[in-house]
Amino acid sequence: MTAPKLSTLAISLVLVTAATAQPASAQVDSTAPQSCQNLGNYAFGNDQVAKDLLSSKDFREWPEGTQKQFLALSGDNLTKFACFAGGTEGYHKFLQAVEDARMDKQTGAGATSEGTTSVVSKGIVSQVMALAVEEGALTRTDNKSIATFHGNGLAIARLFAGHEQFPYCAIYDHSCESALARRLGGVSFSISFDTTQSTGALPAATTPSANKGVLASGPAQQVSGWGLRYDFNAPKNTLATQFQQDFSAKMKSVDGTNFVKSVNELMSPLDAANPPNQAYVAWKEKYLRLLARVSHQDTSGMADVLHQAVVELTDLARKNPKFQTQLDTLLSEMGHYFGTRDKALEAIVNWFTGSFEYNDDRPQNQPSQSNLKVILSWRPSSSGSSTSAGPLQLTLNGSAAWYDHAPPQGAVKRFRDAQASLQADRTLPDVTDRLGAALTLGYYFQYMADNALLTIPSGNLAPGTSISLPGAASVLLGTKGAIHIAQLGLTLTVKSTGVKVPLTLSYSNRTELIKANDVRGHFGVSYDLDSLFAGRSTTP
Amino acid sequence: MCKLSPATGDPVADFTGKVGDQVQIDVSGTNGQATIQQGTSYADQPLAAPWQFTIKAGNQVLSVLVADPTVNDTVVIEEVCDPNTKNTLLSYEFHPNAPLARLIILGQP
Repeated sequence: MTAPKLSTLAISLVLVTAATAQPASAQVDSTAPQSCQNLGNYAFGNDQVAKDLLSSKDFREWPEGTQKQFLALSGDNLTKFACFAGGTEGYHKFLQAVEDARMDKQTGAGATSEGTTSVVSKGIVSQVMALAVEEGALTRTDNKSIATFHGNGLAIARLFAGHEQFPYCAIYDHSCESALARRLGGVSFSISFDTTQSTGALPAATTPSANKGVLASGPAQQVSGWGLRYDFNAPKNTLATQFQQDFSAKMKSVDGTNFVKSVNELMSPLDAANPPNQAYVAWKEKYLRLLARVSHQDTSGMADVLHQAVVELTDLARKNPKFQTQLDTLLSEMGHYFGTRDKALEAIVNWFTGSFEYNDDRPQNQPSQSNLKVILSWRPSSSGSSTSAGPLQLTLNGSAAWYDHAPPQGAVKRFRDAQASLQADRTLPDVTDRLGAALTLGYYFQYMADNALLTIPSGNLAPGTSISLPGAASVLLGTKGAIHIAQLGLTLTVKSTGVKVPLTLSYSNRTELIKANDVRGHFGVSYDLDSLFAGRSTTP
Repeated sequence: MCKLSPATGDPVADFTGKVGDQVQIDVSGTNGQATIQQGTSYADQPLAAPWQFTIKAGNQVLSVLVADPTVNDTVVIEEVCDPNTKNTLLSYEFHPNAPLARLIILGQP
């Protein structure tokens, strides 16, 4: 067994957006921040209580209770007000909190890469683009620095078109995005670059231990791989009795106390002050009066009045010296509640999520090879979810790899290997208010159908021998058989920053090219731009 | 007997009730299994099932956090007056982006 060593440094830069969302909106207020324009018919107004009335009756004909609730600090108006008052920065803060509460996505290379930190490919990938720089291999002996770029064509197009990148969609709100967008959004690509400095000529392999030297040196491939991927899921019928029961059971674990408290701290000085806040009373009376003068058919007039209403309400609320702090808290707590809800429901929303992935790997000193992978991800319904620990997530990978070109003179079979891996992730109770933690346990199995094939330029010596190699492709003897890798990991998440620190320990009985067991410690620093760029668009 | 009645003519309060009266609330959905969630409060005090509170003086907020598996389901927040009588406080279309309904209850002597 080799000595444990820290060999992997991962720095993941992630640009992720929910760019496939296509929220429906009738009349939007063009002067509101872009991120707020899809929240309802108008910049302000509790649409929920007046859906049928808005388009059929003048405001003055509505029941008094409905009129008051339409302007109340309740329901839709809470989201609209927070979004309007918080602007783009506030929306960013909200989405950052949502992302903080969700699970990891696949941002780096797969398990067979020369630079990776994971034994499985995750069931969730970045939705626009991601860049991961990882160092160190799991199944191979070499330690390359691999930069992997993930991209989603549809989402990138939306990014450059200046569309909102991060409209929030609840995990079970299937009407939030169009069917076409959902399907196209499942297609993504990746390309990996070997950023390791080339050392030039291969060293001569004159001693038994020189295999590593041969494998770890030599000219680096600039493009070390590329891939295509299609993600899909099988959603459950939300009207089914079983789903409804499961939904209620899961929601029992979601605590909205801090969310509600943050709303009331901001809003109660306006609408629940004792004695009543006369400025707020005057505001409400004014807009009840103004709305009563507008016909329901005059949508432009309604938009003007309601826009003015939210502008004046924001000015009024800003007179509270704690306004900005309380608004920031509300946005964070609302995002946390929505993210926690999504995470709790993820186990029951879909039967499973799946992916088909094709990768073409071009490892150093080896012939290029193709890999077809199936990824299934699900959460056992019995795993539960408590307020202290998140639900269990299981990810299963199965794949087969073959050489892109038939090996010369039939040296080895063209079918190279088969792989299977399983990983379990579980969010642990928070370490502190600012530090979250998740535990990972993974197992990887690979069966090498034949001895590995190396590409070593003519004139070099065969690894461990003094035999001069005759040509471009050579068989590395004794490498056929099974590879087992076990991995235990802890990921620390610094909340509201996008920074994650994975710490893992892996054991393998051998690597692809070296028959000796190996224990490795892996340390990574991941900077998740998903939350950093949440809510930003290319338009002002 | 129902304890809450509409606060007619008051631009801010939605309902009025007598200080000291105890009120129980519930929610129902037309198509979905709507439920009241942890976080629901009255006068800044957290409530727990069976979601009862005692009316306090002045304007107080009843914050009802609702979950419903059916998006756009019609949800009714109601006062449970007795086993056979319910008083509708608010009827609305549920959306997961706006799960919190706030009602101002004016407690009077």
